[in-house]
Amino acid sequence: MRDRMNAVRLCGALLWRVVRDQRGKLVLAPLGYGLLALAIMLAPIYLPEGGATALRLREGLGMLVGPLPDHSLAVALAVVVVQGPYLVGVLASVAGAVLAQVTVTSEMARGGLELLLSAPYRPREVFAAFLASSFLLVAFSWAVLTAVAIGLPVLGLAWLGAPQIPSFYVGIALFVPLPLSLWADLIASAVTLAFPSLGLLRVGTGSTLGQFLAIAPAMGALLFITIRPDVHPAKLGGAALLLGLGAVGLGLALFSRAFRVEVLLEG
Amino acid sequence: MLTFQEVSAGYGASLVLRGVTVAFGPGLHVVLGPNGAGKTTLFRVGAGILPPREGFVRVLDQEVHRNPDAKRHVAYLPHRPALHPGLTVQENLEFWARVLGIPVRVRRTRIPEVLERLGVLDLAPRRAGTLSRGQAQRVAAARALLQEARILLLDEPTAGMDPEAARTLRALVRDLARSGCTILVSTHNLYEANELGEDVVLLGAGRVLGRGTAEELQERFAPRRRVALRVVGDPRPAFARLGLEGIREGSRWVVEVGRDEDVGRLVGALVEAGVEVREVTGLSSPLEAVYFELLRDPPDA
Repeated sequence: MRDRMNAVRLCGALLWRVVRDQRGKLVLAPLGYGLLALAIMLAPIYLPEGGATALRLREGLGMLVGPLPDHSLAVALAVVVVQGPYLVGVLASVAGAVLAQVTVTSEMARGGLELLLSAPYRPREVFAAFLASSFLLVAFSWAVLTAVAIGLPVLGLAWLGAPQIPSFYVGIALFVPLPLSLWADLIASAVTLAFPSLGLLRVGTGSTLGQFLAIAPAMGALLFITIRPDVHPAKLGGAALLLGLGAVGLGLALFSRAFRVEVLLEG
Repeated sequence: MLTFQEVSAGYGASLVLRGVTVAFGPGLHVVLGPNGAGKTTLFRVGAGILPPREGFVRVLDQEVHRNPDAKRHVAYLPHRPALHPGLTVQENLEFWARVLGIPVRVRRTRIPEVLERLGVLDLAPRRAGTLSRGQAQRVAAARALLQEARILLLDEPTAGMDPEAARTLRALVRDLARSGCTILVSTHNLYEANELGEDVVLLGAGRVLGRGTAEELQERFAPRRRVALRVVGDPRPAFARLGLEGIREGSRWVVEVGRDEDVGRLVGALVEAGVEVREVTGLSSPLEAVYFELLRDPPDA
């Protein structure tokens, strides 16, 4: 109980610091990513015949809503609700991984973690508070991104006369990017905290192994839905949601055991 | 009271502290030693940051690594100022007050107080990222005072400060020590160590090599001292009579003597031999002699 209260207080302080530092800029990155996702998803409307992938995705949408009218609105809706969650998942994962890695590495580089560990908290409370504040920021980012990239077009397309999507599936579509981005945040920050040398290992130009592992599940899911649009969207979305949440839970349990202070202070 | 009992600590495969047993009561203590001696690691263990592999650390009779609340009594100033560059000075202290759980009402008065004490109140609205290293270090020192801890661990606190700011901080440190705080200062600055060092702890290769005043340490580690003489006449017969060897360096003679009393004997012998003594200068401060002796001949070698 004491651990939780302390972690909550420390998490509050860390969030306060981010808000004071970033202020209005906090919303800019997810808004930008959301608009980018929206542009990518609505582009097939302007392609002749909607594009091959979009047309195949339309078949996936048909499994949810039945026979579809043959027009570009259906194509747009198919891309947004069938493929959209995974595209948003990739962008949210990239945002989460970058946020986590930049936060943790800059905190370590300027000695902030060392200072936090000197405060009256147990190391695991510091670790938990760090992750919790990071998760909340990622969740905020997900909320903005999803609202812009999925919520807005679904409402807009419905207003334009597109078929009604079952609400349970809208729920799945909105929530699928969350565990994917939490996973990315967890991997990027936990790998950096628990295995700093591994987290900073370069793979290709500019990327680290931590970032690669962080966004790999979202990339894999996007690839899967792109090449297999015939799989029922609700089944795939439900599986992605549950697997994502399970992986985040498991990752948390493993990394909280692997966290050792002396590794952080080494060098 | 801060007590290290048989403390061994390190990182990965390297063991930095090896069975350190040392206690610090109220007052000012200087931890001196070459790079890699284990000063920062000693402070990290004492501040409850790095858990020891063996032994334990007690803060006011509480084991700090078992009871994190004991850390409330220890304020730590790391070597790097560790300020958040995007926040103002005021916000940096506000953040730390939140981390420590200092109530809003208290922090409203305490933050300007500590900033004033370090002479940086005018920097309160400035972003920390725009401060010079010396200014940032003073703000970090103010942050350490925010905690009102009885024990302060200051890891090279004056690094990067201009001479005036360093002097202000040293004066503040002495004031705090007089008020009953236990203050440990690590430094590479031998002048600073000499100035602060009522109690100097010499650390080398992860062990406490010696402890005492500068003079006591010199007796133990570097009992011989070098003096420079400016004389009129030939001093060599007097040197020979005392069994000393003098080396001519420009217009002066450099002689290595044993104790302070030997300097008096040397001057007496020179005067007796008809040599006019114009100037006698000690070539190294007691701690400087000890420090370089330690670097030249580390105990593990």
